[in-house]
Amino acid sequence: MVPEQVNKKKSKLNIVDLLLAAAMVGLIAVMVIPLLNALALSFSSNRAAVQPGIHLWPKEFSLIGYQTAWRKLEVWRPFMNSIFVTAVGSFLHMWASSMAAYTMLYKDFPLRGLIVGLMLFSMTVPGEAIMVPLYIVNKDLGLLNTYTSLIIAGMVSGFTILLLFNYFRGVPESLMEAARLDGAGDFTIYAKVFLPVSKPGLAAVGLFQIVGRWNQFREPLLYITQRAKITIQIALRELVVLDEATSGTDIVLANTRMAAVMIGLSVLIVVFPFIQKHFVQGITLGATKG
Amino acid sequence: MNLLLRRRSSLLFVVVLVVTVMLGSMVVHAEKLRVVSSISGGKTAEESELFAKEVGEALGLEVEWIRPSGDEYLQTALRSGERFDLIYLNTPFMDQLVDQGALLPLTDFIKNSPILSDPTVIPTEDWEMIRYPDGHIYSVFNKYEGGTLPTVRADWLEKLGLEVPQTLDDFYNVLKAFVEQDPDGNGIDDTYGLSTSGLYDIQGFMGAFGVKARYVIDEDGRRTIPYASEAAIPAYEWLNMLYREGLLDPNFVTNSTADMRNLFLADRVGMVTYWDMWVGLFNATRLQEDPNTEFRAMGIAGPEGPNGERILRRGDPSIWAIPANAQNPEGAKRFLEFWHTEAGIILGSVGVKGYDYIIKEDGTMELTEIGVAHNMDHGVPRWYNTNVEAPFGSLPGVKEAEVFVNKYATLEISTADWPRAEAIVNDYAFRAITGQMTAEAAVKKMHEELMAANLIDY
Amino acid sequence: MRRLKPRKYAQLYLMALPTVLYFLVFSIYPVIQGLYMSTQKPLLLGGGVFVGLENYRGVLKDRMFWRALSTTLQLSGGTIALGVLIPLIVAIALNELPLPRLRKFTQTIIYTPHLFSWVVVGGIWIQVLSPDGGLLNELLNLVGLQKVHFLADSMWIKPLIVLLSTWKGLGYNAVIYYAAISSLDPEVYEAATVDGASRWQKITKLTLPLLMPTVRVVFMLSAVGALRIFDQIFVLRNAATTRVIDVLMTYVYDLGMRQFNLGWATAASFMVTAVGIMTVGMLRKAMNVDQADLS
Repeated sequence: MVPEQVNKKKSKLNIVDLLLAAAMVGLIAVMVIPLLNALALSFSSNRAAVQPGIHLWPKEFSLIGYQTAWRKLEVWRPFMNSIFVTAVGSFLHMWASSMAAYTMLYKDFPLRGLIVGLMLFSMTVPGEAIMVPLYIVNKDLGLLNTYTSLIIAGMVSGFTILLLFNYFRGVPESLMEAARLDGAGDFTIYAKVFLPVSKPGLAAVGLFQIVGRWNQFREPLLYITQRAKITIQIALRELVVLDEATSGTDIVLANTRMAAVMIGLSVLIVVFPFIQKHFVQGITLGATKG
Repeated sequence: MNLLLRRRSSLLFVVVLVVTVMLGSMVVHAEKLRVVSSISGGKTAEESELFAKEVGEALGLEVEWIRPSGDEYLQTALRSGERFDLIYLNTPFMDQLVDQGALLPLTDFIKNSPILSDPTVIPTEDWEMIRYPDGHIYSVFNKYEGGTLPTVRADWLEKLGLEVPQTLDDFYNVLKAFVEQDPDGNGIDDTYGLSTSGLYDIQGFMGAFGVKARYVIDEDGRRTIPYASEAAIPAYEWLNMLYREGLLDPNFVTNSTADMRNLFLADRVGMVTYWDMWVGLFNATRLQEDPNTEFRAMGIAGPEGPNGERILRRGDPSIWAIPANAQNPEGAKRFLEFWHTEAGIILGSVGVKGYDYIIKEDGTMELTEIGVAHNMDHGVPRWYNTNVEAPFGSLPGVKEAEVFVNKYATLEISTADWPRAEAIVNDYAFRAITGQMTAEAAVKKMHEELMAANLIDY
Repeated sequence: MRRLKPRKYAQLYLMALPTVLYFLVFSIYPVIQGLYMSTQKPLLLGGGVFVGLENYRGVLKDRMFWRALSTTLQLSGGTIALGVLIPLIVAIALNELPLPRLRKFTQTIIYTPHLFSWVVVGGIWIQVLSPDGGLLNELLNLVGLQKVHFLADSMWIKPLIVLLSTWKGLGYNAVIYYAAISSLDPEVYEAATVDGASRWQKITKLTLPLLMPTVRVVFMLSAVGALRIFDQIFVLRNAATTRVIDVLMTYVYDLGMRQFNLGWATAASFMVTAVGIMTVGMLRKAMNVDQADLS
């Protein structure tokens, strides 16, 4: 709760408050207007999309942008691929990382030092430095052009393990003792005691995984070449950003491009309200610890 | 006695086993063909598979056709030791590969191939374009590469009572008219005179100043880049004038070729610089939409220099090569011959039978809806083989454009260093054209940096 | 810390297995391979020739490397500065705002761009900044100013990268700050009010000092990634600006993937990593930031 609010009288808004409100509105405008522009263009007809002027609302409403992107340019395929890879990848990430976090509770566990070391190591090496070696590893394992390569990429992260470890530490020992007295083994304790208690932390991790994987582009860029398997960000990059020569005669106007962008962020919009709920917890945990 | 016999027979057994395995593995390998091409092939995932199948059926092989969506894949894959049988290349990369002995020399294969050595299929002098100083040829053409030239809206010229521009001043006046006189008649002041995709195809204009693109190497092997020489200064100044007066599309710096094409097709610009082939495709696209359209794209020769000279750009050969570590080089060679036969040409242009086109009962070819959309370009919109007729004739305007290209276009010389040099040239050329620097200062800086990086000799 | 010693570690081993395997195969091994590659002059078809430290020397002698380093520091420096300060101001302003609904709404809105990928953010802003029908230029046109091709202008592009990075990350940091402010002890403020402190005084003498730890954390979070900026450059660059905004990671990427010079690319990336680790280590010591106790 904000300390100030408790003392403030709710009646008067002085000039400072009004200025603040105006500033906030200005801030919102700066954030929103580009998005609004993209949204408006995405719902514009071909003719309206090329008209000069300010587009904050579709001048001529049309779904042709979305239709062209989805069907003609086949954006539905990368979209589906991304959904699949994101879902499975996020789940595996949470599962593997949480298990590792659990094992770290035991100071005498022989592999503990190794895990910590590996975590620190992985957190300091940039992905870009090992781009080609990673490609070779995937190739040697026969993982090129498979969904598996994308799912496994980033399957565990030191940050997640840390975050979950902090959560787990907060579980009272008594719960563990009780379970052990009942004859439960580690895995059962993990599943029945720790997981339920850490739901908020897991939710936070899961949500960030979804966002991160949905936005992934370096890995699909390198590992996937069969057009049937490329993911949404790569498809988007081709449409929106690449300066390359293309030989197609498809006319791609601003409305189709922006429609593709909207498709590229659709999942994030859906996930967003959930993030709102859990975000503060996850971040507060990280921030105040520091 | 028995022991000796046993040893000999087991030895024999082992030998037979080894030979069988070797033969067997050869047989197994000969069945597959791995092809990588980011340009030729099916345009969608579905079509790629059909494409591979049709090639496979024609060659009696199992074909894996990989169509990556960028350049990174091929480099990374090759480096990590992946083995392909056929790769589609452009010349800079080929230079690197040949330099390391990574490609199979194909000189003898080509000489002995009835199809490839036939001058009516591929003119003998064209092979010189891809022959290396060591006398060998390491690749085979993918398609007939035309050239680029300025392409103008002939209908607009007519409408505004303008002649085909010949001198720099003519061009200036025409472009000005396009901008000021609303040639598309839509009442909105939204038309540009000229648009390009970066600096790719401005050779037509640079030629008026006698400046050739990329490298010029003299007999002593000394290299220079005309775009970074003093002769280029008036060229940049002229282009800067166009930019300042709003005759040159401000987006030209970041336009992709698709953006530039879209502008031209959407009546937003009166002149672009692009492939001769595309003159026909522009016309075809608009005619498809509206058979009664007045749209008419025409290729023109570009402004002439003070002595009537002109320079146009001949496209970099697009080629197929066989990596030195290919597992099935024989299969790859058969593909190369196939690609230049009628069946291969139809596949590379019109597309896959039953998907892009069907054969009617009377034996004539008819395009499907998909085939029409793919515009008969699956990597080979034009081919060398003069014995194969274009099933639907030549697109309007192409033949005329080809005349100019044949007359004035020359091949551009690249070296393995060109990409680095290009980055420097582009950097300052853009600044000069958009007025961020004077042309003189820009050329000076360009030249300085190129010399410092040992990318030019003078 | 748990001092339990379960009789068997068997289950723990199994539970730790995916993680350990993953790190070994996808973290450790590639690094070793990369280090090995940095001592090789690789051949295009795989394999290579040992050249010792020649690649490292080559990179250190390359003007473009130092230029990339300078650009990286400039862009990161600008982004970090703005990214640490502006969200702080925003969070404090939000806190002062007596309109809870506007506050909540603002928070939600400013946080969204953080979730987008740079491909999406790039796509949106490339459209807005386009000189042909883009929002910003149309506005300039309306008030009679000349259109500017921002993304192709060597003067504008660097500030633009910093501004866009700030635009994208503003909400994230602001929410962190806001959460920290929210968790400050109300009693301290009540005591200050009793002492007659003004709003402004409370902000400058209470809130700001109390937030210093959070500022340090936000700074560290930003600094860690400073040398590694890549996505926004990769997405927003074009032929006119590619040399102007070349940063270390794009330098490495181009070396490896465009110029086919893997020896140099891996050498450069290891040097960058090493410097990065050292810098972060030094910063941490200087700022006394302690991580969660891991021992």
